[in-house]
Amino acid sequence: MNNFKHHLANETQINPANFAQLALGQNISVPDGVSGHHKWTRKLLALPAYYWVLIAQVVVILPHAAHLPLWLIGFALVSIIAQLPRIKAKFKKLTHLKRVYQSMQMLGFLLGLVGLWLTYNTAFGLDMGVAFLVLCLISKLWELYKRRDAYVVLNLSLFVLASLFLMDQGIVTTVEVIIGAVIVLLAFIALNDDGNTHGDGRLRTLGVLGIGALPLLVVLFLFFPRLPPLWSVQLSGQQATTGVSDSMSPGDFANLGQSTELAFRVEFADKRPPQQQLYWRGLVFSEFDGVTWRPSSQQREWQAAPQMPNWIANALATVPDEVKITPNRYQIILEPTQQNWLFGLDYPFAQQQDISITSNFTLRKDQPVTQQLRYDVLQFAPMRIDPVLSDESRRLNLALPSSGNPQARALAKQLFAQSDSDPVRYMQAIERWINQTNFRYTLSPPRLNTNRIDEFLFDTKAGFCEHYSSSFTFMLRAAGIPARVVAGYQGGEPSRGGNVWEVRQMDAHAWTEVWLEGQGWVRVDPTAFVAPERVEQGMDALTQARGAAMFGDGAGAQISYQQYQMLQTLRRLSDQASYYWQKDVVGYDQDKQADSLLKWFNIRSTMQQITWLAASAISVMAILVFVIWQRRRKRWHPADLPLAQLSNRIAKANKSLARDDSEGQLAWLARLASAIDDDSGQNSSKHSNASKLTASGDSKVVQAKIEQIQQHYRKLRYGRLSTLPTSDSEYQTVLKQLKKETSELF
Amino acid sequence: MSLLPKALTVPASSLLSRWFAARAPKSDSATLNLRNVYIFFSREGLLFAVLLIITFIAGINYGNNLVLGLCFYLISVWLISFHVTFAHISGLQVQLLDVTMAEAGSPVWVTLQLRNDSRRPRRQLLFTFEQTEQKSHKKANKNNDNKREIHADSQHSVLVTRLQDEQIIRLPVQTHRRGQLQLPRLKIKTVYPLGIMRAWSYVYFARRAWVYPKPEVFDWQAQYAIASPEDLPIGGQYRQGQDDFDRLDYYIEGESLARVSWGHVARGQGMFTKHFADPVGHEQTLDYADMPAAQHEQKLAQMAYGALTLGELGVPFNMRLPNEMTVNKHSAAMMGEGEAFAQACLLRLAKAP
Repeated sequence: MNNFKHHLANETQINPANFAQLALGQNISVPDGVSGHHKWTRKLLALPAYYWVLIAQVVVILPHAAHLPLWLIGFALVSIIAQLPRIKAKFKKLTHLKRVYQSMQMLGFLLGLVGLWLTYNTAFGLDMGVAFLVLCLISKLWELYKRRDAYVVLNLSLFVLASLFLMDQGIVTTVEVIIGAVIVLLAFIALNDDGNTHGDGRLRTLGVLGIGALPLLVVLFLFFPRLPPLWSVQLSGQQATTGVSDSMSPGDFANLGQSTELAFRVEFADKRPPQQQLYWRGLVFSEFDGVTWRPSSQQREWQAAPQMPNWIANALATVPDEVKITPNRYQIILEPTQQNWLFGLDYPFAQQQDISITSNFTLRKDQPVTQQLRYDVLQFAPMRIDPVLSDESRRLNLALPSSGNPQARALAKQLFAQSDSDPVRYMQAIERWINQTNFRYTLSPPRLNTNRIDEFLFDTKAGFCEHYSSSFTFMLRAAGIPARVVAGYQGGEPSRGGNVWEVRQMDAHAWTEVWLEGQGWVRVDPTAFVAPERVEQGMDALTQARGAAMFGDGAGAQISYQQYQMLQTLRRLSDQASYYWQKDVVGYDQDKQADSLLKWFNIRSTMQQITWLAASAISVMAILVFVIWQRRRKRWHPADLPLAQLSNRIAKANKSLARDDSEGQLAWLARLASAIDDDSGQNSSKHSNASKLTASGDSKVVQAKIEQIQQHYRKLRYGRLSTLPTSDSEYQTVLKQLKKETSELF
Repeated sequence: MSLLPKALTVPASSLLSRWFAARAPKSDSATLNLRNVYIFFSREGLLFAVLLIITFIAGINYGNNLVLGLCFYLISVWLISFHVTFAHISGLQVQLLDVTMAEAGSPVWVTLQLRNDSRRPRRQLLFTFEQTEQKSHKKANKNNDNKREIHADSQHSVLVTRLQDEQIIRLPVQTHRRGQLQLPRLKIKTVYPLGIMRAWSYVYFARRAWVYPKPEVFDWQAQYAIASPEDLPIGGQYRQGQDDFDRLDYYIEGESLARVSWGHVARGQGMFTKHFADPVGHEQTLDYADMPAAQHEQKLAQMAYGALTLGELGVPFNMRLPNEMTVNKHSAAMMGEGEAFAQACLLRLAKAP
């Protein structure tokens, strides 16, 4: 029995260093297959599975450094390094190793939980969830001994990879995930290819799986119906820079991300107002502390109730009667914002139970919007709000910090005096001054520090809507004119189908409202002083027209013109790529899918869509399967091929006469000849084999032919010709004869 | 599996194995094809399936197209790996070359020739002879520990990491009882390339293996006095005579009552006469009837010991078995010597009813 087991051990132990051994720090010498002068890529490819699992972890966890706390990334790297077989080999006893690693696992997990709590101050939320997932993966790494452990680790790392998309959906992240997925797949393959010290075939298999999956991916992505969420999820922490937030601090961000994510859709009942009139009001900022603009806390609200407060009645009184009967009606479909405020054209009016109007004429919902929300809005185009300004409101909209920004204050005094204290002429003076002093519209302005208004107006002179509206409002208030900042969206574009109007996050905008005697609040957009096309044609047109110049950061002056040009082109290309990526891939939602499927495939219903999905998925699979089998089909020697074909033909007529898999070619031919011989003895049989084999039916002739085939086959396979290359002309002539004979035979 | 009651799983699995067997004809060579290759998730693959489901739900719920895209990609990879794994094992040819003979309780070794006709090498093929379920259950009734032993034994397998063209492997099959052994089904399994799909096939070989009795030492001196080579009688061939006990035979009327084995009569086993023989040459006779043990199997075991020892010593001998004496007297009387003859004798012992 002992002997038997020993024998068996010899049989199975072909592996130089298998997964379990490396995981225990044993047999850590480099396998023979890769030592020597092979290229490093070959060496890398031939690495045992254990190393590939560790490499995959590095590739999967590092991209998370962008949003995870650094200590967690550090812990991850330490954990990965600690799994190296060389370090595991330092332990003399296995039990010792396992005990130490298990306590490290427990300790790391608990400390990590405490650390996450201290970092995020919450047990919920997406950031926390992703961080927790990464912590789980790291903890599992300390328990990497068996093949099954490796599977758990690799599956978890695919999760971690997917979670990266919850944090960011840019092109760079996508490339990181693609690399991660390829490495994890390679780790999967290596894990099932233990003992392959040359690494041959791994890349090929990776290609078959990784590239073969692409067409199927495209089909699924295009046709798979986008379902509504199964349950609503809170996406806190998502609302970082894109869109409209509840405060505004110009100069905080050095770079405004241009997200093309959809903010809301609008369906106009009648006619759409012109592009430059589309100011989607969201929030009104009245309070300013020198850095940040905030909404005023003293805001009144009115919900559709019979009793109308004064401020609404006053505003409605400015509307002519004929307009009151035919207001401009539209419906907004708002994407989840996790915030209370809603958007509407200047000035919105809603009559829904859960939506109220604030005294600033903005719309508010009683609950944060966590799911897509549809609401109807009315607009009375010529309406004026606050024709009479209350003292309280006047005080609020004139307030400025007591000190700071002396230059701006001085300029305001000077210009206001020059325009004879007339607010309208004063504003024109500011516009002239801005146009004369070379202001620049850019999405990557320099950061601002303490006296932000002064720094922007007299130093950097570069910024986007926030900078302009903030400074303009400051200048107005400094001259004693009530003014406030309004945040929302401006513009938008028609959808691909053309029936809906789409407003994206990149259309976020901020402008100024100034109170003028007799007119109430009047909208003034100071951004239009420098970039009128932003307002007239929309953000998308502006980006394309101005290209990289808009994103420039002043470095262009230092480098040569050509380099600048190239950089500009590259930037424009990458911006465009990013734009289309966001718009067409990331933003490929239910509506877009319906639009594009209708446009490209004329698909009108979900049923059609599913049929298309099934049909194209099946045909792609069929092609792939055909290729896989084609690559795996039998490899015939050129001389064997005609005989194999002959056997196939004979098999159709008489299966027993076909060549058996384990039968030699010559033996089969001999059997064939003798079968015909047997047959000729009993000619009376109608279905004689000979008559099937030849037209003549003469068994002697057939046998002679078979003999000839045998002769030629022997020559090609065993005779002098077998030493020649198959492309040799003499070889080819005999081969041709053989082919001719086999085709004549049957 | 373990969650379900035994009463359900056992009939189900035996039904399943009967279905598998019905699909494959018994033969000594087999080509794996669409008809006899099966494919399903491996245990690790179920984990992967869970991953796919969770990523899908996350993609839907967060309305995140890229998470969905990654999920679709992994689904596509899985669909392709399904076919790659299947194509990887399908088309493999297995031929049974040789089966050794073994004593009961030791493994018989089966030599297999594997052939791969395709252009690509096949990797990570696992070959295992599965002890059939019914057999282990029968044994399990007798002894629980025994069952565990059988299961442990059935796990012996050979992993072929790379198969291009031809390769020959040897596999053990554990034996338990003397006699004819029908080879259990050969399981060929692979999870290449991702380990999430498992493709497997069963091959049912027609050839039988023979298992001879496990040799049992018995007291030679009483009968032959050849416990050691020195004690070996000079002659081997016996003639009917007076000195040495030769065999028991049925009593024939007229024989001397003095030679009747009264011991057998007293035990109620029938009336036998003792026959005596004198050594004539160097030859020995190994006679079933002379074995001291009382039970049939034990007697055969002792004969196996005798045959092996005599074969090793190179003494010419013949072997008499009661079943052969009635059927074929010629072969029973054949003399021979050496290991090859000993092996032939062992085969006869194995074939004894």
